[in-house]
Amino acid sequence: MANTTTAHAHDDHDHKPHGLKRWLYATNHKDIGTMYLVFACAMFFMGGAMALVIRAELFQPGLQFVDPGFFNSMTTMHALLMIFGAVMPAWTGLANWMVPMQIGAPDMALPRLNNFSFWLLPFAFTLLLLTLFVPGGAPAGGWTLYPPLSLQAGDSFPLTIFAIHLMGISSILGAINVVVTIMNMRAPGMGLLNMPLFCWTWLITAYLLIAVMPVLAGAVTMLLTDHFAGTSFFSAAGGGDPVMFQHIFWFFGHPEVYILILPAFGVVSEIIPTFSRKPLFGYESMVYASASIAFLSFIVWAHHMFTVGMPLAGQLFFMLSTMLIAVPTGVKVFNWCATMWKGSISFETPMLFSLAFLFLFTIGGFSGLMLAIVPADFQYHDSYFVVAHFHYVLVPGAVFAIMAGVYYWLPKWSGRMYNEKIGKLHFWLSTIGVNVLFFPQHFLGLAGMPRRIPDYSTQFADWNMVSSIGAFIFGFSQLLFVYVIWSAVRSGEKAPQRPWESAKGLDWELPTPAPYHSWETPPSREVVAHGTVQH
Amino acid sequence: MEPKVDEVERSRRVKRSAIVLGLVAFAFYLAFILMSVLGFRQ
Repeated sequence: MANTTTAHAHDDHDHKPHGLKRWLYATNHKDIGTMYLVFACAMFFMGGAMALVIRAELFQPGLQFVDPGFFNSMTTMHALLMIFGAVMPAWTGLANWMVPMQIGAPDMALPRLNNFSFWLLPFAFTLLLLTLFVPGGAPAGGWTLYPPLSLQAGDSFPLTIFAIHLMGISSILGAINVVVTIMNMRAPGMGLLNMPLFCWTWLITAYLLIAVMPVLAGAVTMLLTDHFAGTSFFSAAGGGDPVMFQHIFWFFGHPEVYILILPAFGVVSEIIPTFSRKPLFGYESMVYASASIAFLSFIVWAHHMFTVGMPLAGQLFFMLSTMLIAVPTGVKVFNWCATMWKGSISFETPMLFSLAFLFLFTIGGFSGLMLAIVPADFQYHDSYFVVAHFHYVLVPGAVFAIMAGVYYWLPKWSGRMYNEKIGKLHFWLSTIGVNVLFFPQHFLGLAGMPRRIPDYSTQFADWNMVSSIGAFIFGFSQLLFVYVIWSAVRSGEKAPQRPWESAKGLDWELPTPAPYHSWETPPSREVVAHGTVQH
Repeated sequence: MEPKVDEVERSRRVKRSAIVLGLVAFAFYLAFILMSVLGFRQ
């Protein structure tokens, strides 16, 4: 454990820069990780406030609070903020904190690029949020930006397109950094198949990002030239094809779903073994399942657009390839259950969030299978059933896993324990809130309520009221999350050296709190062997 | 005694692979625009 001692010795003179400069010129992976996480949290609350505007309006039939145009802006901005501003930066923040610590590297491979990737985001989202104040209002055609609707936006259009370009550049640069870090900076003795699953799932996610973010950038560049340069890529009047935009968008959009969820698989694969006090069941099959899911994500995109019309062979191909994703996903769910089987399980907050992830993400997966069936999709398309499906995947899926990860690693980051009672209260309010919010939306969709409307038929009133009550429970309970973290960092009990006694990994071999500069000397092969997956 | 990592060689490898990945991303960007242009001509 000589390396641990060395790292510890550095703890008291870590040469940390101070003041604003520490954050503006940050190159330390922990500082940049913290900035990503704080930024994601701010966007989560802004996007959440927009969701509450939506749910307040839908509390009763009729128009209550906002005009329909603003309502459409809220649905569009909520999605853009949550996807690109909250979930993706939160994962990048966790990757920044954990990847170097888990592979025994002193920092990310390209620290200055890392700083640049982060600082693009505040500019991108300032531009996007500014659209709320320009003539014509914020974009209101949905986050999918389908033409010709999106081309009818007012002054918000160029701002939105530029903001999306900046977000894309930030994501691509961040992904390049993760790939080169993992491929070049691993400690001696750490093979790819010794890496923690969080690193594996992030490596696969990073490749997905590099492949599909440029496709989104290409699509919005063409929208821009259609709007300002007289091209007709997506204009039927000029010989173009609006359906082509949908194909290009969803070639990006479906892998994007896995970009949001694959790191969640990694986090849960770290937490479940720790609190089951057993090694992860089927490590290698988890790696291959993640890679298979990533591969399949490239050949299923048109299931988002069955209703635009396509040849029967196309419908069958996209239906069956979509269903095929259930196989590697099922492998993962089976492995998590098998890990817990006969384990000595304890139910601390990270484990509770991981278990909720396991059950509720699976519900989202099953409704996804229903949507994959072409004739059924003709009925469900653009209904609240779709809204229920993807929110089950993204909220108790991705968001719960982010929260599980923050609770799990917070003692290592800050050296302080969070308040377990308030953590559990946060968990139960979130889990009850999220189910009251989204489960009734399945019924609404099956009964025929379309999505993206501010008013609805009175037959949908009851479940909408229930859903809105759930939204407010879930929304306000997130203030507890901020309180738990704030109070832990400020005045939490001192965390022991190994806060979770069964946690395994190089990150847990470091002192608590993790020193500002960690693994300046690569860990020895003995430390690597002790802290990593061995076959 | 751990084998000494060749820092210079590693930093060269890091830069090289970052540039290659950046070019791959740029190629995806151009390829989809190009495909749309060609599809448009057909």
